[in-house]
This record gives sequence, C-alpha cells and structure tokens, in this order.
Amino acid sequence: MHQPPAYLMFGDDDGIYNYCPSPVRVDETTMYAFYCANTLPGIVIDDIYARKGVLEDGRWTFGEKFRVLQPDRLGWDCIHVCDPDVIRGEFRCRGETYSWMMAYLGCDIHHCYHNQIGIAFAKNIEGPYVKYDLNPIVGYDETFHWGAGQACLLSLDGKGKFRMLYSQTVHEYERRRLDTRTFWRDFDLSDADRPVVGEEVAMHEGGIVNRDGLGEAAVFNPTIAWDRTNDLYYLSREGTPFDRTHMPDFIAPYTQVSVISRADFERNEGGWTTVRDFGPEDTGFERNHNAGIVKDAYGALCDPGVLPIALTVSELKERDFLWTYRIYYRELVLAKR
Amino acid sequence: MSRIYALQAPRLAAAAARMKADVNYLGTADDAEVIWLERSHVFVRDAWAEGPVTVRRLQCLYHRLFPGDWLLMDGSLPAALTAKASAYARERGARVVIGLKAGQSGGETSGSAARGEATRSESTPGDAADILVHEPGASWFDNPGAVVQIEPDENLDAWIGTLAISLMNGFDLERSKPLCRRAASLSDIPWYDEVAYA
Repeated sequence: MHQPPAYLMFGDDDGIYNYCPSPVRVDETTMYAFYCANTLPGIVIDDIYARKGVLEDGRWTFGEKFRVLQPDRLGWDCIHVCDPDVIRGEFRCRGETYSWMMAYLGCDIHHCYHNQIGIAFAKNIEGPYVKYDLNPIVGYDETFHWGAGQACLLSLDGKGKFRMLYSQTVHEYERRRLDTRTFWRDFDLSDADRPVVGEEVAMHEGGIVNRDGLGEAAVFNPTIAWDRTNDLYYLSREGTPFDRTHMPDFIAPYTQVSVISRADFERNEGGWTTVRDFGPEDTGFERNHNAGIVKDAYGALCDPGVLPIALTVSELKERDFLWTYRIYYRELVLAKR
Repeated sequence: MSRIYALQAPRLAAAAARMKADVNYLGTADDAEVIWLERSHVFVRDAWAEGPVTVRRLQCLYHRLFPGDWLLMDGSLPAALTAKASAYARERGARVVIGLKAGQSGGETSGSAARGEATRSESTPGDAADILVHEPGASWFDNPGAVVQIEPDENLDAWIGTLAISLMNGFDLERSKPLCRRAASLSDIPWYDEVAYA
C-alpha cells in the first residue's frame, strides 16, 4: 500500500533545535504540535513550544510557534523543561477546573542529570499552562543520575484518570551500570488537591527486539497511543543499539514502533510485536530519534488503520549537529489485525 | 558544555547562575551570603565563614577544576592569589575570566587599593586572565589574553554572568558580545527570563 513520503513539519531559525514532539490532533483537520526548543540561538536551555497545524490537501501546515512552558528561576525545574505530552480531561485543582494537562520533564542541573516529571494544567490547549503545586509528580532522588522523564500519557476515563509511561534510571551498583528503562503507573487527578498515584510498574519488555535482531534491546523514551477499536497499545521507543561510529553517537538511528494488546500490557509479562523501524529510508536522515506518535486529545489513535508519527531527525556532524534537529511527519498504513 | 567556577566573586557567581549557567562557588561567605548565593542557584562548594582565601584554601579549587572549565574572579583577591588561582586553572586545562570595576585595580581588601594607590603586589595581574572585562577606569598590569571595556552605563556583573552561559555553550568572545550587552543593559543582576523572553 502507498505510504506518503515524510516531510518537515516546520522549520526554525539557525541556532534553534526542535525535538521531542507531542502531536495532539483535536479534530479532523486541526493538530497542535508541542515540542522542545531553545529560545536564545546557540544557548541550550529548553523551553516547551507549540504550533497549531491544519490539514490542507493531505498535508499538515503549521503556524507560528508560541511558548507554552518555561523553566522557573529556582526549584526542581529551573534549568530545562522539555519532553511534553498533552491530554484532555477534567482536572480540579485549587478551586479551578482544567480541561488540559501537560506532563513534562524538568531538571535543576545541567549535563543531563536529575530529571524529574511534573505536570501543568490549562483551560485551553494553547495555554496558559499552570504548573501543579505538588510537582514533581514523579520525583527522583539521586542528583547525578539521569533520573525520570520523557513521560507520555493516555486518558483512562476521559476525565482525571490517566496512565503515564516514562523513562527512569536503573542503577545496578555492583556492575556500576546506569541503564534507563520504561516504567508506568496510573493516576487519578480528578481532584488534584488529593492526587491518587498508583504503584510504579517496570514495563515488561518481552517481544521487543532490535532492528536486525542485534544486541539487547533497551526500552526508553516511550510514546504511546491506544487503538480503542482493536484495544491495542502502540509504543514508540529509541531504536537500539546506537551507532557509535559517527556523531551524534548518543541518539537513535531509528525509532521503533511495537504493538501489544491492552490486556497483555496490563498483565505485564510481554507480548510485544514490532510494527516498524522508522529510519533513514523514511526521512533521509541517519538519526531518527525522540519521536511522538500522533494521537487524539485523549491519547488514542485517530484512525485505527493509520499510524502517524513525528520523528526528530539529525544530520551526522562532528560539531553543531544539535542545530539540525528538526521534526518530520510520517504516516504508516497499518496491516489489518 | 563546560562548568563555571567562581572564586571569591559572589556577584559574578550569582549573575552567571541567574542566567542558568552551571556555577560553583568557592570563597569566603557568611551564612547570609551563602543563602543569597543559593537563592541565585549557585552551588556553594567551599564557603569559609572565617579568615581570608589563602594559598592553602586554593587547593580546594585545584582539585575541582577540569579541562574546559571556566574560572571567574573579580579582582578582589591579592595579586599573588589571583596569579596562583589562574596558574592552577591553566594547569588543569581551565581558562580564566576576570572582571574589574571602575577604579578597581585588585586586592580590594587593602586600604591603598581602595584609595586608588595600588602597588604592583596589590593590583590585578592581567596575564592571569584569558578574558578581562572591565568598566572604564579599571587598571591592571601585564597583558590579558583579551580585553573588553564595557560602556559606562553597562552592568559589569550581568555582562560577565551572560558571558559565562555563552562560554559554557561553546561561544567565543565575539559571538558572546551581543547577548552580554543585552543583559548588561539591565541595572540589577538579571535572571535568564528577563533576558531571553524580553
């Protein structure tokens, strides 16, 4: 079946990077793309930006960017805010009722340390987003570990209950290993002043294999979408192993999407099947990382027959590769299951 | 990215940290000053509540510096200590930025310097700096690697604080200047948001 070619969702100025897209489709022809970018050219401080897109002649066209979240001056998220994901619901907090919620990564130190997860609420998808006063909602104690972050969300009831998947450092101290794995837990923030936080589960990785079957798969940086028609979860992750022979050597050459039944996911004993490895053949770039499955306002696939995905690409360069981070759109027509 | 160390230069440390640089402070500081630094997001590594910075205390700086780091000083230390700290930094592969205010020639703690009568032993050795940024009227001896004279109405602390985040991100001095000037136009030590989103 014909797969439409990948295309650049939007450009940006020199010295500005775009990555970690969270595309939220709110109706047939409207999508908001939330993503991470710096503000001062050449200076690596992450803010969260968004753009409104409209579908015209089968192609998404995006308008001007606007900033939706920024680091505080002090506190747990005072250096970077990034890795957004946004869902619709009904969240009451401090006497206000909000209909949108963003999960994001925040940190208080440079060099990729001490990441934690926070949330912010809004009454309109475009904002303003108000940071939750009980942040971080997923904390991490060790300062000089990567921490917890890269959260993705799906609504469980259309209101305040949602499921969050996220990356988190696993410290195996005897072998001095610091790995990153995917965890998940359920929340109920219908009354956010009295949050219900479910028990953390280490996501079972059974069935997830690397492209070409090479090496042990590491599962982190998840994004998820729920195919409600077939009751399936589609998961994207960073394709491993990384190519250490060319710079940048710390980001994925491909993004892998796998699928599992919701029942198997919740049983947490594996059962994943690879759907597609999105790589250079899709975008023309050797790095395809920090992806976001396009989903509706509640975290579901808009069309159970199509998997749209936003992929961050990078050029291969010894220096200044960061400024080539751009976000491409790709659609995959799914085989009937 | 690199790291920033500020030796006995609390205002420069605060200015750099408020611009979201990764700033570590070493030097004398009482409890109130430590709190003020921490409220500017400075990581206070070694703060001595009593006694001045000494050669012995500079050992704490020596073991913390690594290649690529930047050391900030403000001309308040005696010349010999400034030179020693700079030598340590260079030995460890770090580089040095010194900021001097108008009328300042180094060794501020001595009465003669405060009266503008600095001797060579009290004045700042310019060759201790890879980059020396100064207000008009500051003085030093010997030659820094590069010299920037700011405008009379520019804020020296803000200028150097913004230089710190720029250097951390791999900028050279020339590329840093426009952003430094933007921050230095503000009268108080600015926060990142006041510069980035203005």
